[in-house]
Amino acid sequence: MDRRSTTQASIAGLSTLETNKVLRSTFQLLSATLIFSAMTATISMFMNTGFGTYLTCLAASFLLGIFVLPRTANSGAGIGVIFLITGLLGFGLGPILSTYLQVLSNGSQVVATALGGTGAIFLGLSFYARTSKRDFTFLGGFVFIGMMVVLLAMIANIFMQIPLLSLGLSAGIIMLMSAMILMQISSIVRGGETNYIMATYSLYLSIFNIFISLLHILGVASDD
Amino acid sequence: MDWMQIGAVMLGLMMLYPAWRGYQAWKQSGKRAEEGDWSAASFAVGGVILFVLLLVLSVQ
Repeated sequence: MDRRSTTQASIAGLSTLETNKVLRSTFQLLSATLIFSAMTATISMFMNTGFGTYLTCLAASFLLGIFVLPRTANSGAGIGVIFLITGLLGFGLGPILSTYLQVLSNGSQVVATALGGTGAIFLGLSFYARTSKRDFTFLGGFVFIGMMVVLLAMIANIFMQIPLLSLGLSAGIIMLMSAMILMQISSIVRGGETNYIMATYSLYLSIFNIFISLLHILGVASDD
Repeated sequence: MDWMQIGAVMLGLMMLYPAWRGYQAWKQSGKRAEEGDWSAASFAVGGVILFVLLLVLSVQ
């Protein structure tokens, strides 16, 4: 092997190492934020917070995610911000979980199934995106246009209140967030995403949305 | 229309902004699909749909 090919192999090796490091850090931070969210959700359930808490926490975490996180993601402060965002989202989830547990006769089964199902979907898609030789970043157009269509339909349904549309939107969100996970993992593996805090935020939001949508679908399906 | 609905509408409208920004960024520098890419993605998303149907059957 000549010197040039040795250098190229070293660069490729370093790049793979760097990619693996980003992926490992992302998964570690994602695990920690999910555990933290579960803790804040439990606290929120014990405090018996109302539905307004969900909207307030969602709005606060959204503003932090748009305006604060991108500015702090390259520093240690980014870790604190991501925990604040995920903690808020977990806290907002409390009243929703309480409602499912109180209203449905098999509420605990529905919540546990949604939780397990979300975990299985995420792990399955991550494994597929990592082992597949495909680059799924081409899904960007589909995901972002799909998100805009779903958001507009959700806004319209606030006024129209059509249950079937709401169910269809939940199914659509699961599909879009699944594509988002494929896209994000693919981007990390191929070196497109090098910031593990931003990658964690994106994956966390996908998992959060899949969980909420799955909870909605399973809640409707099991409602007797 | 109560304040909760107004809040939900405002939140929804605010969320359109990052989706639009993401689309613009993808349009400028995003990768386009190659042969076989869509079928590989459809296989994964189709698997998710089947799995969700299985979960629905399990709670009924």
